[in-house]
Amino acid sequence: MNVAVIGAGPAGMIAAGMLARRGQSVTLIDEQTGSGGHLRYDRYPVGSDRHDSDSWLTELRGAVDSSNAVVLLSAIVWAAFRVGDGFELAVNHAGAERTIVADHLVVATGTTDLALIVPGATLPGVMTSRAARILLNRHDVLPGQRLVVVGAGVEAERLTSDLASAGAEVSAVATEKIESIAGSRGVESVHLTGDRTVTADCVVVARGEAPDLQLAGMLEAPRTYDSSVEGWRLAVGADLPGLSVIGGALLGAAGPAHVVKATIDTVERIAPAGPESGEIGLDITGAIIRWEAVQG
Amino acid sequence: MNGHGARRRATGTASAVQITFDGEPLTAVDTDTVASALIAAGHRVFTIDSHDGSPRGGFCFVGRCSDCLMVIDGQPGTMACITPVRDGMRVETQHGRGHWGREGQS
Repeated sequence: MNVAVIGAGPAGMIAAGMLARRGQSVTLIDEQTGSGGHLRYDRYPVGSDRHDSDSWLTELRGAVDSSNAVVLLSAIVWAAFRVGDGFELAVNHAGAERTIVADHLVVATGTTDLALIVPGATLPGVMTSRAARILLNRHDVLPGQRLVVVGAGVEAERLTSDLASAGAEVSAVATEKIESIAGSRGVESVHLTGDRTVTADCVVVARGEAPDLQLAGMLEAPRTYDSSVEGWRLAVGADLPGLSVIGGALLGAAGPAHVVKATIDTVERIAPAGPESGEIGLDITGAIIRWEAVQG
Repeated sequence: MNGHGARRRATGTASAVQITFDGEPLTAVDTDTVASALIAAGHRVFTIDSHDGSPRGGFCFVGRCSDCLMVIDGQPGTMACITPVRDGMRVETQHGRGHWGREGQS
């Protein structure tokens, strides 16, 4: 069976590797220049309570590379259609248009950061937390010198501390305190409730994330508006013939173990009882992801 | 001049790549995207919005938001955030929807 896996983050890479080793003909597609998804810019130091992203990425790339999965990078899936019992994907691969035909689609598109809706939020210098992480961790570029981090969760706290360690002056501000952002050609100041103004050259929005369901939506996957994610999530128990949604794209529709559990469920559904069954154990404790090879 | 405090902290083992931004030479490193090279060099306006003329400078940096569309090697609508730099690359601010194959847009 031809399986197209869209999104080469952890969930997509696990699914692609396992399906390919079970004899399926797998194409793993990602718009970025490298596989790994958020592992390419999220950094947890070795020995911290979080999984070390570099070694996990190395492990996942090894699992995909040693399989027969074909990896298409710099490949943007810009439309998807049901054709007969299968699917056709319109893909722009490194600037050239091509069509990919698949019997089964695995949607592993991950999440999108929530935006900040206040006047001035479109000014250059306002960016998402993952944008700041990409600049800092992939490119060693500090996105500003006087930053305001907007949000209150774990990611906002981590980012505030990471940016401060990198040499920036950082204020953490709760979302509801931001009234507007001002500047002519980019961020210059942030106006807060209580008639306060903070000078800033960068505003980082770390309010959380919503599942990225644009592609699943194009294929008419049933979705529900969920105010807790400020967006659409997959409807729980949705029946999706020929289509699997896994990983972060399931946010709000599955439990905390969604990355791994949904991946394994999907692989079992498409290619049951393959030779790899039981060889890989994966454990999730809250947001902490660990990947362990089980011996024997 | 933007007058903001973005800067590159270190270049590690990356090697230099020469590009141009609106006709001016700019030194990037080979691991850069167009967006990271511009931010590191102190440029944060990538696009001028076609509706109200407001400046845009990239919001998501993962190829999602379309706030970083630039004219790259003459091709408008190219996402600066997921386009790697290449020696000799011509990067131009995009005005509105841009124009095909035209350098130095008005």
